[in-house]
Amino acid sequence: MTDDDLDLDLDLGPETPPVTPRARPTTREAPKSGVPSAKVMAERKPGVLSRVGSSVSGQLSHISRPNWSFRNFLIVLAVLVSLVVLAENWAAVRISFLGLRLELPKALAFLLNIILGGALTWFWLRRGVAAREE
Amino acid sequence: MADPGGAWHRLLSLLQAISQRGLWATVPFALLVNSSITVLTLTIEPDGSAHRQISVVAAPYFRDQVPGWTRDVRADADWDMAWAVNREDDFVYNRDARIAALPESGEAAALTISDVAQNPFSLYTTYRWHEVVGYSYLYDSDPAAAEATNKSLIYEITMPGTVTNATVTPATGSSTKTEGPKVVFELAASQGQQTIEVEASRLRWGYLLVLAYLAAYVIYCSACTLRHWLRIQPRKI
Repeated sequence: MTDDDLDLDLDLGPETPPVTPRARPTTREAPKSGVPSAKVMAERKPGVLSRVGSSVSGQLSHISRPNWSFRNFLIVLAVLVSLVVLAENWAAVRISFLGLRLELPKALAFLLNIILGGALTWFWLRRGVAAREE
Repeated sequence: MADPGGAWHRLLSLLQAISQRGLWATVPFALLVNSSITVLTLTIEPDGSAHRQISVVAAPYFRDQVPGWTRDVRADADWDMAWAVNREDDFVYNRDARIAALPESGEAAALTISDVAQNPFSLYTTYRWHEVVGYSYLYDSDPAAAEATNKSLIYEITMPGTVTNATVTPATGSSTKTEGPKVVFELAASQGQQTIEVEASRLRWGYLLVLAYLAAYVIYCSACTLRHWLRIQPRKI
């Protein structure tokens, strides 16, 4: 093979553009100072489920394993006993007022009584504080 | 024109029924005879309260009489709500009442509850309901008429747990059908007085849950103490 043949092969070769390394498309531009950004976004935008999942897992990661101390034991026991009392007293009671009748579980009536009493006391105390401030 | 003799007989019959202290539920015979279906229901709640209801299906001809007869049904409760459905072929009338607490003792009726306070070492709470049901007849011939026409009262009792035993005495002409917490008696109106006994049991899940939690905590504390004790033990070098 002569030197001319080699030149011919080079001339007839397929003209392909030079391969240059391309950076992945980023949504955020690199800072102007010239320092490349450490954060690189994913090629595909994360879906709603994955975003919700990541936020939930982020929140859950803050929760530490509860310590089963005597105080925590008593709190859980009180909650458990309260739930059992509510479930055991789920029989309906009938409340009559001026010809109107309302039927609701006894446990729910008991809870409503507590909430109503608490709300009334709170309003009463708030009223007293407001009067003193004036 | 109203029949004064019939009204007098009815009044006498009611007075007789009221004076019968041994009866808890009394159903006027006139109601049974003139209705196609009479269903008395009793739903007993775990806390000893109850819901009582009577449903009567009668011909539209008796639309005016059925409310009065139903009002005369005695079941240790003042009837509260009433509602009726007028259909083309029949007339359906209902009344109900809430009973705050069923009697715990008595010959006529008694609900015996064996709960944690009474029997702390059992897994089940047992309920035993005893009741005497009767009819206020208008005439002496009414029992024979009831037998001839095969008239009966359907009595549905729903217990707070699974029914384990249900009996009716005397059982002549009557039947008992049990399904889970519900028992349906078909009481022959010719028998006069009948005594019903129903027993049911219910798992004490709440009590067991609390016990299981206490046991788990005791085991946890014991394990922690044991581990600590093993850690502070001197070891051979």
